[in-house]
Amino acid sequence: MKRRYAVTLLVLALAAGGVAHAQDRFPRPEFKSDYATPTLQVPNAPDSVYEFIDLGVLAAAVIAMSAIALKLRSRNAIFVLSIASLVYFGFIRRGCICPIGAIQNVTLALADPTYAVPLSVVGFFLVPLAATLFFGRTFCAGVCPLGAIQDLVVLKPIKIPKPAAAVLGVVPFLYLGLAVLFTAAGIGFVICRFDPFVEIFRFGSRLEILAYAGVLLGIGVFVARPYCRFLCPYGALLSVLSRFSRRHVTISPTECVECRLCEDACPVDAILPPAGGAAGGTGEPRRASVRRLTVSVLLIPLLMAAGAAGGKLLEGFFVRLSPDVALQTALAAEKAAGTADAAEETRLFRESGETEAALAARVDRTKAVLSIGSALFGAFVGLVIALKLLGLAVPPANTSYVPDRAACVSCGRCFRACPQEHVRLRGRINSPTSLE
Amino acid sequence: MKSKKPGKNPKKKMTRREFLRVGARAGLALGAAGVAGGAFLRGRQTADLRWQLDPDKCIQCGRCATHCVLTPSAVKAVHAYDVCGYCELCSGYFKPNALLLDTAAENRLCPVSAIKRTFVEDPYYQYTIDTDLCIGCGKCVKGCQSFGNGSLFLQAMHDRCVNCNECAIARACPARAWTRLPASAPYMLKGKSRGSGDAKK
Amino acid sequence: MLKENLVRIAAVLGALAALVALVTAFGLALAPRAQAKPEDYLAYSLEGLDQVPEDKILYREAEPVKVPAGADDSLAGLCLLPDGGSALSGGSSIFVFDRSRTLVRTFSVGAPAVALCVKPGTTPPALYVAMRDHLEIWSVDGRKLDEWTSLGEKALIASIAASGSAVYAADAGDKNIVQYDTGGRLIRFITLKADGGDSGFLIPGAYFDVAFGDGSLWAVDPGRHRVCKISPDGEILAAWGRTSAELDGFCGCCNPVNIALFPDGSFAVQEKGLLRIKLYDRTGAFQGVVAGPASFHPSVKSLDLAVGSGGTVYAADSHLKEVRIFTRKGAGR
Ligand code: SF4
Ligand code: SF4
Ligand code: SF4
Ligand code: SF4
Repeated sequence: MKRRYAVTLLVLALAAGGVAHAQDRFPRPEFKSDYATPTLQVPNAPDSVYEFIDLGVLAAAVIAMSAIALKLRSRNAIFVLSIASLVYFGFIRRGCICPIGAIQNVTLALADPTYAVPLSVVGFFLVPLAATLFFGRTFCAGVCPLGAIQDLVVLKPIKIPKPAAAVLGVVPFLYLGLAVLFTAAGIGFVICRFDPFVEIFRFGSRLEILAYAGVLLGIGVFVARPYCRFLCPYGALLSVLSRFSRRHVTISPTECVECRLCEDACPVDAILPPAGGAAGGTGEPRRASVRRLTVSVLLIPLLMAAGAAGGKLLEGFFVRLSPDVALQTALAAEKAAGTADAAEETRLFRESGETEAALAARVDRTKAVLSIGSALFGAFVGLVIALKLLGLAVPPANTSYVPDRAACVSCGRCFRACPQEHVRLRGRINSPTSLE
Repeated sequence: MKSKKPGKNPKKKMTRREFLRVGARAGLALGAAGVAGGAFLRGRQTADLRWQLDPDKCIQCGRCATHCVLTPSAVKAVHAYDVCGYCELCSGYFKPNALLLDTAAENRLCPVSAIKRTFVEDPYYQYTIDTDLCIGCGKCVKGCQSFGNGSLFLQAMHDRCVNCNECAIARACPARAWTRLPASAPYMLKGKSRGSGDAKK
Repeated sequence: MLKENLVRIAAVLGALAALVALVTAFGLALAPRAQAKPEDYLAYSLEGLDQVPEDKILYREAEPVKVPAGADDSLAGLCLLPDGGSALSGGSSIFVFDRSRTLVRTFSVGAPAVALCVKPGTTPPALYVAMRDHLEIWSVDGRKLDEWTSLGEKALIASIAASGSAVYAADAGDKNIVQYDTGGRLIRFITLKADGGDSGFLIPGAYFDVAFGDGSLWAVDPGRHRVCKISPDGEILAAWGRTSAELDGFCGCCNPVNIALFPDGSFAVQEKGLLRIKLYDRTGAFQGVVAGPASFHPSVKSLDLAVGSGGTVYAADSHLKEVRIFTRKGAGR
């Protein structure tokens, strides 16, 4: 399979290089001395095996992290594993490929028939998702190098007012929607382009990105994990999956005694206090809460329709973000003004010899995708907002202090705040097994 | 997140929540697997992909030197010796109006003097690129391409390239010369090696 | 209570402001921007050598003739027919135009035709067609009349020329000129003899042009930047050309690429790199420029030339898929 693909690619490459190919046929110099023409040497690419090793390491790390967070309950072990992961996925593997970016590869594979997504990249996309369905966002706890690096600087976390957090919490979904839209439309991989920390991992030198990283890390001292909570598009996916995870980190190892000691322990404001009375209601009449729910449910199609209309309004803006469209516009403007090659971009376009028809075909494709895509994007944003409202309308059911499954990143900072944990640890220390 | 009409069976509230959760979990698992599986099956690409530029499309705009996330760039000039004319007056080595054919710096095209010129026999000279010095600007390539045989060309060196998910040069390349190649054959070479694509060690 | 609500509203407003700022920054960062030219030390520069002073340009361009060739076909051979029409090879097709420059016939010769020339004195006109390693004779109405034997694996014919009694094929692969009689019998291999020795042609690239005119055979010696008049046994009878990047000289590894002889013995010469067509008189003195680099796409290497009556210069442009026509300024058509 692999071989066949390679051959196809080569055939394509040769067909494309048909003219210049003749360049290779040329009279060889006739050396009278016994000079031997050296052969061109190029270094091998690192073996594909490494990508699968990475995938294995990723799976192992997520499973280990889950075990540590759910069973061992050791913040120190989580910390150590997150440092190891930061070093491996960040500084050794240089940040690429990561599950966040893999969203785009998967999208591109679905949108562009000429792109085939490698198996390992699919694996990177899928492994943390699957793990989250079982254990919650243990990937975020520190397997993700972006999470790990932000977690290092959480020194003085402050609480963000709930409504503000709710508004900003929509951003990751916006980002997710845009990333998918722009990938499908051929505008590019925005997640990778605006990956704040990759320049640090590569010891790179793009100043604007380094500044962005600096700002995020600076904010991150007070607002824990700003990228994870208010930007990360993969985090958006994980937060949805985590709500329905089979198991999840708990604050208390046994039973919550409602001592409220953990209330301020969470850097990402993910600890839910027990809801109202034991009945799980807020004390308001059932009828009222039913009405509220019904309204929220009915809001879903309404907001989606409104979102679709709003998205459609943004279509023109999205179209202008495409470099192909910008190039075509510049060419048309030059034609109208009669000044060829005024800009670097148009000059190079002419030099490249690409036809305007080929450019127009790409532009048309981009426009076609955006024509539907911008409405779908708007509808998606509408749906997200509607579901957030619905979430507010559903009465919380927890009867003790529990982590908010969507927001909790399993960092383990709350463990030690819980007196029950101290009981557990004392028990373990005194237990004969640990004396062995 | 999926909503259901509330309250048919208030007494079994937790159970219902649990049931919904399991259902949603199964649904989400299927969804994720479906998206990922579908994406994979479209191309059935088991090997990894590497970025590479097609030297036949490249117009040596200079962005390979400036747009790579690495400094110096992972792109380097390479030499297909078997296409080289071994010219005395190499247009990849000398500036176009260099009349004195000595190797004085002011006559040389390469900004970092990464090309070595060695005498073979009259009137032939061999030109060799020092990959560690080369910054991938493509000046020599352009000189060779326009005046000579096009034996010098640019390639991303895969011992350096970090294989960005989206190559920053590819995004900026005005000739759309960049593609993803299977990691087992990650080069587009000229001369006898053309089409072999594979690394030779 | 009031204070609490105020804080809440402020928080939401703050969050909204942050959101707007974020989206704006994102949009700005993503918007396609005009790219700067590369810095000077990174940019290959012809240092003004590609500029041609207007007063040196002796020709103006007339309406070109579009050729329906395939995108990948190079227009390798161009020749004028005795009846005033012309023939052009593009890939493995031959295009025949009449004197009013309308395409009258297209036919395939089965393999890429790398060079063309008219077989003198035949009616209807016949063409010598060069493939990579051998010559064929085709009538302009598309019948194959003859096929001569191959010159072997290494051969790389770059051009052909014919006199009344001989046919010359310039073989860049073997670095010699093969002389045939009109019946296809191989008469001799001509290599360059100069300074008493057999110095051979210096051909670093696949460009090697021959032309027959004024009763003699002319060939380029591109590695030495000169054009030579050679006797059948390879003696250089005359040579001209100087190595220089100036307008009157030739530079780069191999130039000139194509030559064509006017009836008066003067030359139209095409260079690559600094892509221009220039005029030289019969002694090799520089006369002026037909068309400079500004007239051509930089990817063009070779423009096969033909010269017509009144000094008109025809050039086969593989990039535009056109026969470009240049006429002398001041002269009526
Ligand atoms: S595990 Fe961390 S994120 Fe989750 S509730 Fe505890 S402190 Fe908060
Ligand atoms: S960016 Fe493209 S055209 Fe420019 S030098 Fe690199 S490959 Fe060549
Ligand atoms: S001119 Fe540029 S591309 Fe060529 S060897 Fe020097 S640095 Fe490398
Ligand atoms: S993939 Fe990244 S490292 Fe490689 S050439 Fe492109 S920008 Fe440079």
